[in-house]
Parts: sequence; structure tokens; C-alpha cells
Amino acid sequence: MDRRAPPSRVPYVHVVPPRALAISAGALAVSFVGALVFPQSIVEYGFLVWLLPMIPAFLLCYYRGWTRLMAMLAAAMAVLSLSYLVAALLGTALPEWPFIGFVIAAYIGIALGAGWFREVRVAVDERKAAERELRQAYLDLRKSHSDLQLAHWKLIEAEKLEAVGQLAAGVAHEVKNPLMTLLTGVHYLLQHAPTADGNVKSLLDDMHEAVKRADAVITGLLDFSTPRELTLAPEDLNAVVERSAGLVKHEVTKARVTLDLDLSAELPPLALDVFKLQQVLVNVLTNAAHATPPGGTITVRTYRRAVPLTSEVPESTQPDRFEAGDEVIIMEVDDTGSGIPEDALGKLFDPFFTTKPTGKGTGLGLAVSRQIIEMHGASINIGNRPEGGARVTIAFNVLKERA
Amino acid sequence: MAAKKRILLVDDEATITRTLKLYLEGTGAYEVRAENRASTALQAAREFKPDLILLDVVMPDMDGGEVAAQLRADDALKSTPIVFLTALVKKREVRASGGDIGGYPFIAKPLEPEKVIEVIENHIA
Repeated sequence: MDRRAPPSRVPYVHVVPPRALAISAGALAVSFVGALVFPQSIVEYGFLVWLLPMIPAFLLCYYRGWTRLMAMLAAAMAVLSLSYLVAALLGTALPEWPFIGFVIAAYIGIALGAGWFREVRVAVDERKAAERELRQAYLDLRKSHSDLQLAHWKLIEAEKLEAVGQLAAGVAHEVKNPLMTLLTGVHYLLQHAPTADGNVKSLLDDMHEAVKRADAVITGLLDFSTPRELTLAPEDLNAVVERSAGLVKHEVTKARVTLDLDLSAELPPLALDVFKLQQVLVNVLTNAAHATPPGGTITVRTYRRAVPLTSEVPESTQPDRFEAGDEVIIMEVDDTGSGIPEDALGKLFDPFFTTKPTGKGTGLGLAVSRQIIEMHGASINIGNRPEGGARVTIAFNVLKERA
Repeated sequence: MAAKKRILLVDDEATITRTLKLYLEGTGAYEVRAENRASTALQAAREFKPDLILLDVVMPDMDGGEVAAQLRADDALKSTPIVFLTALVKKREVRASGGDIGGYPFIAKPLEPEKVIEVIENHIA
């Protein structure tokens, strides 16, 4: 049955009162006519003593919505009126008649009332079921609404990104030309300016650094904002990890930390763009090297596993990317630094967000990394480990790979 | 002393042509002629007879690619090496800019002038 279809039966709560009213009115009419036909008889007695007093009780039940009592009273009134009429017709004046009639009527009334009540109860159950369905439909609707809002938000983000991309391409061209002039000029001065003043050289060196930094920012922005295509081929993830580890060797040695690789030998080939993924890994490993105090350790781990029912992998990004039971390849990068402040966790992937000192990072590395990972159909998540330090988790879906 | 190598530098940014000319000539190994307009580059090349041409891609009056095509069409210049200078970052973007420079080497700005010299030396006849 479609959850959203209306209940097939009309609830009986709306049927009982009219039915009971009709029966009790009929009983009164029969009794009244009986009293007129047989004055001073038992039927008149029953009408005056039993049936008339039942009217206020009946009306009370009607207005309070006590449908079960209404049904019982109506049944009792019907049986009483009929039994008094029969007694009058038989010419009896047995004092037991009212009592016997009342008892019989009460039993029949209870039986009938219970029957109607059951119908009422069925109706109430149906109404409750309908309410549950309605509530579920409401929850579904609310979820659809929030999904829609999320999609809308993503669309706005994508549009903003496209605008940034167009702007960045224009800015890059306009900025890179003057940077070329500055760079060439600085080099010329380094070779030809008088060197008696030591400050001149250090000033020129600073200018040289500044130009390189400006170029890194503008290149990073372009990287982030221009649409890219991946060149995917079946590759060994571990080989990419090893190559990236080689590329950051200098940074790791400079930070005086140890880089451990704990790579599973059982990984299937994944559809990867080796150079783009290397860019991500170099970025993540460099961040880890900067965050880890001397003597610390960075561990890169790869392994295969199924997504558990309550997955901790995709919680912060792309919850729709994995389903419970999917086979995933996990790559984790752990460091033994101080971890990431709580208030920074939500902003790590925002463009230009950085926790590094001014001039040390462009704030674009993780934003670009996430784009690259998402283009692989994978997810990236950053959090703090309970034992201290940060963990970057990248999960590739084995089933969805486009090898 | 060996004769100086002749470099024709075509870029609409006068600051770039001035500083690069200064730098290259400062090494004592090059003679540089700077041109800031694409439309006069062909004439300048015919007069100057360069050993190598450094050519900007995006210029207001004419595209670097068109200039290269004109140079290639000239019998005297068709074998002169051309190296593009570009502030566009990727090859794909360079191609998307309309200039067909697919077959030519290029230098992405900003580049350390020592590396510019390396590129020149790699491509000069």
C-alpha cells in the first residue's frame, strides 16, 4: 500500500452517535406510543421511570463523546421499551419485569456496545496508523527538503566557484606579467647593484621571496578555481604513497620527524590520476610535517575494508558517496602533533583558511586537495585522534572505480 | 669573443621587455631588440634577423599565434626558433586562448631569468 494513500475505511467514531441516536429515539417513540395505548400499565411505568431518565444520560454521553456508553444506553433503551411493550401486551403487571428487562437490556447493551466499541477501536487504530504514516511522510518530506537545500547550497557554491575561476584567470594574467618584471628586475639588481650595503642584498632576497609567494598564491587560486580533468588509469595506491613520501623527504627531515609507511600488500589497482593524487599527498604530508614537533612520527597507512553500518569515514564530507557494505580502500595519515582546534575543524577545506603563520601557507592546499579527491569519487575527512594528533582519512570506493 | 646572440623580444608589457632586455644584455651574451606591438614584430624580425624570438601570447593588437604564423610564412624567418612567453598557466589554456602554439616551447611567467636563459640556450640554433 502506498504510505501516502488515505485510510480505506471511514472511522466509526463518526457513525456511532447517529446510529445510537436513531435507536434511542425509536425506543422512546415505541415506549411513548405504548404508554398512550396502555395507560396506567407497566409500559407507562417503564417509559416514565426508566426511559425518560435515560435521556439526560444519553445526551451527556453524546456531548462528551462517550460513544461506548451511548451505544449501551441506546441498546438498553431499545430492549427496555420492547420488553415493557410485550409485558403490557401480555397484560402482566409483574413487578419483576422492569428489573428483568433492565438486566437483559444491560447485557444486550453491553454486548452491542462492546461490538461497536471494537469497531471504534479499529477505527482509532487505523487513525493512529494513518497518523504514523503521516508523520513518516512528514519526516521524509523534511529530509527531502534538507537534501534540496543542500543541493541548492552546493549549486550556489559551484556558481560562486565558477565566478571565482573566471576572476582568477583574469587576475592571474594581470598579476603574472608584473611579477615577471619584478622577478627579472630583482635578479638584475642582485647581480649589478652596489654590494657595499649588506641590507641591499637582504632586501632584494626578501623581494625575491615575496614575488615567489605571490606567484604561489595566484597559481594556487587558479588551480583551485579552474575546472580540471583527471587522467585516470589503474594504478597502485601504495606506489603513489611511496613516491609522495620521497617528494616530502626534505620537509620531513627538516622538521626532524619520522615518516612511517604501513601499506597493505592486498590492495587492488585503483583508477587514479597519479600526479593529482601526488599533489594531494604531498600537501597532506607537508601539513603533517609542519604540525608535528621534532621527534614525532607521521604514519601513512593503507588498507581495505567494508564500510560499517555507521560509517565514521564519510561523516564530514559527501555522506552520499558510500553505502554500508561498500568495499573501500582507506589511506590514513596520522601525525603526533597537537591536533586541530575544534573551531578550525569545520573550516579546513575553505579556500584561504590556514592555521599556519602568515606567509607560510596559501590556505588553498586542502581546498584543492578536496576537489581532486572528490573528482576521484573518493572522500577526504580530517579529525583528531583520541590518542592525540590529527588524522587525515581518504577513502576510495572499490566498486565505483572507473578503471 | 663570440658574437652576441640576437634575441627579438615581443611583449606588450613594456616593463617586461625593458627589464628582460636589461638582464639578458647584462650577461654580455645577448643583443636584444624589444617590440611592444605584435603588428610591428614581423617587420622588426625582418630587419633584426634574430637567432631566437621570445613571443608573448596575449597581446591587444594581434595574437602571438598569428605572429608566429606570419613569421613561419616568411622565407628568411621560417627556421628562426620561437619560444612563447605566457602568463597563462596551462598548455590547455594557452591553446584555448586561440593561439595555436601547440608545437612551440613556452615559458610561463614569472620565470627566474636564469631559467629563461636556459630555455633560450636549449632552443637557439
